Amino acid sequence: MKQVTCFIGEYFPNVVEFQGDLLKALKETVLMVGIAGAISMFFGILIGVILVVTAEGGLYENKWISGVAGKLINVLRSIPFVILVAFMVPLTRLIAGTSIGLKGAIPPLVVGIVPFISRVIEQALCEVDKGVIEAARAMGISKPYIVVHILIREAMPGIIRAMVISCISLIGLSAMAGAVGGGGVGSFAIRYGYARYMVDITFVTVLILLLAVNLVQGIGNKIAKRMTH
Amino acid sequence: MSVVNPEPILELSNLCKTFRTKYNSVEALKGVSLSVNERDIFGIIGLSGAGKSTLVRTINMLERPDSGEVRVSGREITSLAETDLMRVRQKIGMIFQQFNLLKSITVYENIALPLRYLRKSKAEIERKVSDMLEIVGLTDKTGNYPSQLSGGQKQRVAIARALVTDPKILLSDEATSALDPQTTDSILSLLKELNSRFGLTIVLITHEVDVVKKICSKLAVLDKGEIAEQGTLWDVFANPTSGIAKKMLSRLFKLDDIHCALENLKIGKIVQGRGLLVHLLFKGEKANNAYIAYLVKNFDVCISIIYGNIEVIQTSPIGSLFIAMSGEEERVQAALGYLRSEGIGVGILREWHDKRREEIH
Repeated sequence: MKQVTCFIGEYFPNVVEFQGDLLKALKETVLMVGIAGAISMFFGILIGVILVVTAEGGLYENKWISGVAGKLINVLRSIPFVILVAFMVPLTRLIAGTSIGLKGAIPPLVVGIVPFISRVIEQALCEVDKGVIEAARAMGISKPYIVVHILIREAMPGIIRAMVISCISLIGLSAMAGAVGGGGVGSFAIRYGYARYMVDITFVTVLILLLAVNLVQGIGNKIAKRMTH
Repeated sequence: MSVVNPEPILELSNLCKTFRTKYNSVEALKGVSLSVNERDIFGIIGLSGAGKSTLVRTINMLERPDSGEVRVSGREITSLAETDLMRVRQKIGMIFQQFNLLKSITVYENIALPLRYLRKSKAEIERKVSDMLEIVGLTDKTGNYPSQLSGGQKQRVAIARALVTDPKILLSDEATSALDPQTTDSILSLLKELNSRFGLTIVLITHEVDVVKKICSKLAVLDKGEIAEQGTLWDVFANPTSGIAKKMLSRLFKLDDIHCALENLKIGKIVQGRGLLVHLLFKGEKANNAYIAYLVKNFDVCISIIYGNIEVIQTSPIGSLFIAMSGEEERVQAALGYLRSEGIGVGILREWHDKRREEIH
């Protein structure tokens, strides 16, 4: 144990020195990803479902809605995230009361990730066999019931996988949001690792993100596998 | 025959449907009318693209016709609003070529699905689902997922699911087309049993003559969006009038195979020189008479039998016989005349004799 402490002290001196800050940054990242993730999943699934049911041949076919939603998503997805954060400052202030720190990071994160989640959820829902929907309609089941109990239920393994991919993207975005004043491990790495040339801090940050991504992917895969029959 | 004029449970009149895309339009149904009585097993047969699937989908309004009427138990349904339509659909079961089961839930839950939607009590769901499992013979598969079942078992689950709400009509859209011949037979006999045991009316869409022959009591032949022919199975098979029905019948009697065989040089040579090649169709009672012996005795013609088979359509036999007939011209003609006067279908396939004579001269 002592040897390990020695090793860390020798090769990662700054990590040891600023471990309090690192822990705080970690907590911020977890909160950022957690809160922004939960909000984005809700809107992502909602918009994903809207995209699928309003598409041609869908349960609530509506060219106008599907057209507008599709275009809007494409526009938002084409804006680089760093620019989106700056662009959104007034709106962020309006929603969160501040444009910096944990609170300030959440609105741009949500706006940045929702279009992406919507698309991956849309893809997952498209995988559901059209024949199953038709069979349900032939049974005289109402459209809202079909959406909730058949469309979403049948797409669940795909939705879980979509959530995993989105969560990983969100971790990446949260680090970027940190760089522009959002806090979290991203800003920690920029402030110490980049601005003060503490390479060991950058290294540890990368290691943490790597572990986080793998953890999310691993858990997600397990759940998705259990749900696939 | 025993029932006096049964009520039509399903009446389609003058249904039209055109699919329009940006570039072209396809007339899927051009004024289709037919009526299905209670307890019928009504077959609708046609080639792919004939409009069968569209037609069956108009029966439960999965596809709204452009014009025409659909009456279910006397009630016009094309003008119904969605909520009323849902109630009608709950009384019409439907099964599909691709089974369309939910992959994410078990056999039990698949069958329970329509009941859960109708908010039936837990006890009732359990009773109904286990009844249905018993009927389709899958009591041991309750907890399995669809991916663990064979095609035939999946279709049985689909049948159970379609019938768990006690509908009076079952629509079958090519339900056996994805199954092998043996499984097809077992599914068809299940349908037949449901028909006789519970008085279920079945409307069955297929492109296979065999399927129709095995279980249907009535038949409509659909060709390019129109009914080419309709009636009892016997009517259509014994006296086909449309080209498409004749073609179907010839497939049933393997006429094409015979033609193929005759093209074969060896068989052709054997048959050659023995006169007229004739195809005879004996219908119903006629199939029992000894016509061949009679012809040989009374008309002094030589007959060699090439190939024959018999098909039973709704308990009445139809016999098909290929013979080569030779003898003096007028005797042969007299023999053929006699067969025709007896109501036997006479088709002359090839006049080998004449052809040979031409070659000599």
